[in-house]
Amino acid sequence: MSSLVVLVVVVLYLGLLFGVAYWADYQVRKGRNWLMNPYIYALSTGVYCSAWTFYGSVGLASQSGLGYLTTYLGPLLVAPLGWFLIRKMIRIARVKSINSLADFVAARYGKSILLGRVITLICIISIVPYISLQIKAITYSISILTEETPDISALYTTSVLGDVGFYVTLLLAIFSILFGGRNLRTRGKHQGMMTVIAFESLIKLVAFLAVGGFVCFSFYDGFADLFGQVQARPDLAPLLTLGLDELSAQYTWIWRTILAMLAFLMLPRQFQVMVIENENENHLGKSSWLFPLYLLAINFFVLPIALAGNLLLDGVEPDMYVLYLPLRQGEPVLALLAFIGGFSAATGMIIVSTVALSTMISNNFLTPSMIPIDIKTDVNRSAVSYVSVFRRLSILVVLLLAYSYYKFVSQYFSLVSIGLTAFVAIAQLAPATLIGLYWKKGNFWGTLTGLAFGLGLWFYTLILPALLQTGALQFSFVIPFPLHPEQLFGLQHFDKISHALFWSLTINAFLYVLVSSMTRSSVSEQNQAEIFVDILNYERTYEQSVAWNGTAYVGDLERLVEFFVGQDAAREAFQRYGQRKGINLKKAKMADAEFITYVEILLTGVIGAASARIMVSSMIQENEAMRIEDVMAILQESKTLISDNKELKKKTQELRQAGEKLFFLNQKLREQSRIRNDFVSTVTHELRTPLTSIRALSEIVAQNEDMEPEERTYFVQQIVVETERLTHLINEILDLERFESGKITLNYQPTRIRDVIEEALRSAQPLLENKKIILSKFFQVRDGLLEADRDRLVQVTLNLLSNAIKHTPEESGIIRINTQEINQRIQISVEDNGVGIGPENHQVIFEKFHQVRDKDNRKPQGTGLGLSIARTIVELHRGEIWVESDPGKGAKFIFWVPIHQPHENPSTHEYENIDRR
Amino acid sequence: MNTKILIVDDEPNILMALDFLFRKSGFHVFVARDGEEALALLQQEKPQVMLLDIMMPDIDGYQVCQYARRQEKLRDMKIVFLSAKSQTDDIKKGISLGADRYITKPFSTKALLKEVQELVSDVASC
Repeated sequence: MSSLVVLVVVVLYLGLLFGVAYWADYQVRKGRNWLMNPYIYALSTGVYCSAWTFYGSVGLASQSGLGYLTTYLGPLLVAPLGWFLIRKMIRIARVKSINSLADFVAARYGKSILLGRVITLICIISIVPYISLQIKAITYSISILTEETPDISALYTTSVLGDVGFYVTLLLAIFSILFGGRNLRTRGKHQGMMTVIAFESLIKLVAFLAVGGFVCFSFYDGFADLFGQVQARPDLAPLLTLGLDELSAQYTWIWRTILAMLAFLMLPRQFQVMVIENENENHLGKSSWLFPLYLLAINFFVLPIALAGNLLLDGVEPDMYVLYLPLRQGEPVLALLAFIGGFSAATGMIIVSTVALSTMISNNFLTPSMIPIDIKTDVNRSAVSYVSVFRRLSILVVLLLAYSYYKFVSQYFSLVSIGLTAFVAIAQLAPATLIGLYWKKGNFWGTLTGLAFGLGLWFYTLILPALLQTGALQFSFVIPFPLHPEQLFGLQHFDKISHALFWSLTINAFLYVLVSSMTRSSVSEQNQAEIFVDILNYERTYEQSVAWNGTAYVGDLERLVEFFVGQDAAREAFQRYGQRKGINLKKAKMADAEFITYVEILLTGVIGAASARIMVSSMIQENEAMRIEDVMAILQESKTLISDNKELKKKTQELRQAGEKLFFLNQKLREQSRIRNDFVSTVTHELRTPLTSIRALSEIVAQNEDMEPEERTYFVQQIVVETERLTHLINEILDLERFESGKITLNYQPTRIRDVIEEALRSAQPLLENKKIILSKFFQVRDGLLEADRDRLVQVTLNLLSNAIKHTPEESGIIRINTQEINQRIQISVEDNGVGIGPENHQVIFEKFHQVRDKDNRKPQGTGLGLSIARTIVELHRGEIWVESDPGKGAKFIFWVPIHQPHENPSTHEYENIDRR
Repeated sequence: MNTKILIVDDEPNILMALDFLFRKSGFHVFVARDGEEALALLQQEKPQVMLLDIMMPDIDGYQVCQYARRQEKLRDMKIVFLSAKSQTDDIKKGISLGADRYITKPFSTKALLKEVQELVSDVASC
């Protein structure tokens, strides 16, 4: 057959696939859901039948009769009997937005990124060779069609650029990128891919049935004729029996069936089509009998074709009977149809496996690695594009890996061995995945240990012997008998694969259970276990059940989601959430645990469980007030995030303004309650300090009768000093409290300002003398008579005076008191030559308990209430008080009070106004 | 050799009382009147116990504690906060910074002494 014809057929067929995929996606975009039906679902499950089925089964059957059936017996049993397992997985994956097998297992065991990576690696190691097998089948089948004497070894020697397999791989990469590389957030996003897979399942079935039917009814007169001829051949007759007489054959059947059962559940491509792409759990019902039917149908003619090949063909690989039979019997069109069938089987498997693997790689390796990248640095580029790029890149990498494997490694191993070896590796995921669905105690350490030993044994019993056989590895010593890789501990009667499966799986499961029982799960893991195991009860309450401690800003979370899923999708998702919960997210500032969980689920759908966990937790804050700088930073970033859409811009602006208002209001309330709390705790603190000294000193004096007399006297003196300090403090606190609650009203009477100053000076005299302070006073008043509460004004003056005394240096202190009458006001200033007060403190020193502390003035005596009380009294008099000072140049406290007060007694009412300022 | 104790407080009378108390009980006492003095004495003397006030100007007790806990050479030093701050959050913060005890003011000198002696004997028995 001319290679041009084959090439045109290949290109046309691929074009058809693109068309079907595009059309299906178009249907979904138009809102038509009819493609999401159980038939498409069941057919797409048929991706299980790869080129290995299409070509390899016949090869196997031609050698060993019905033994090939085990590969299908497994799924045939699981599909109808294990539907509850699959339903549970579907439910979990949907509720938790899981989009790959690795994420599924990682999520179960505490969203461990390590586990996600280990499982991704296992899948890569086992599935990449499996994909390469499909590429090999495609290229080999093409060469059979186009060449007179096809030579399989020639496939490996042609240059990459001259290899048709390379171009097919590239085209498949493009297809996978276009139809499978997109984010899976919205349901039905991969409908194009799924429809193509279902379509291909149909094509391969039709092609196989056509070849089988043609062989049976055109080359022979039905089954009776064919089987009759085989019975007549003594060398072929045994193929018609099950061959179960021997013990080893029975073991082989049992273990291979188990293997296929587990593989069917654990293969990434099966997980993809059955669990992740499932649109409706109810589809499982139909599929549980449709899919077995499909398997029966596609296997129906395997044995007849194999037997006919054995009878009619000579010197060709049994694997390729399906192609050779029509070709050699002069039926080129049928041969072409068979080729298309095999091509369908191979491409279907390649596409789904690649998409599944690339999701794992992107979720577990690429996306987490970008997390350290500060989102803020690159706001213009949404992470949607990052994630897509990662996933597409992964698709390309997976396919190139597979191609390289095919080109450079696969020649050393047979088709069947590659497939079954992959199955055994994949089956290692079964204990952790399946037991973990029902056993809450199963944990991370159990999983890791089980996997490590399972894989170790897999390597030891399957890969090592293969490497030794091909000579890739050479041992200079003999392995002692009990450790013989193919007869471990003397286990005989098992074929290689069953032997490997037996050991790796039992040890894996045993260690999983053992280690899980002996170790403790982390809290987050217990949480997940709870949800996974009880998913069927949990589902509705899931969002309420997961513990995210702490809160996060709704804005932060929204930004995060926008970043990863895009603005439109994010808005849509939040609207849905708001509608469902009946809340308006635009009004909420802080997100509750439920909303945080929702965001985590949204992100999980895009970047995988572990990455989502990390991203969300980076947004969770402890209950601390947000700093203004943070708010500004967010506003700044948000600005760049706004799309060009004017309308949206306006809306975003409004939203932001509302948010800001709320924020500042909240801030203010918080500030007020903070001040109140601060006051109480400061009062207690200030009271406790002298109390501590008094108690400690008196206990010592009481318990140490042998103290030095001078020391004892000094201790007692200090007790008195501290007691006075305490009394003074209590009086001032009470004063302040009485002012604030309005219990003290001013007692206005004609007062001479000179008397006020003199009385204050009399009280301060001892202190002034102690420090040898030079005092000067000036009066620039006529009679200095005013309407005021005399005692309170004395208190103000005395407070200012003692404050000044406190801050002047010993022996060189100067204090100047100046009294003036200006515009119906009396103004008094008290000026010292102390250390002075920095401008930043000019306001706060009047606040309660504020004491300016610095190195030179280590511990100011006094209560920190004096200035506060002074201000209160002055303001009650309708006056003002302030300070003028430069650090190092002394301070000047100034206050004025009016000479005349209005006639009603205003004090109580007035004070309230002051307090609310 | 006498156990070295560093007492940090900005209240002279408390300092005086504690100085007397611990000297009398056989400790080798160092006193610091603020955080900076405390840091210097920590470096110089490497005491086995530190009594630490929290509310001090500039470098507060929390900071002194944090600093001390980062020093390899002071690893075995016991830290006792003595503070008038009595709210649960303050206590939690103190303990989370690595203090061994948090005693609120005012305290009984007898109880304090007993507590410190117990802490010190813990170290000795290790």
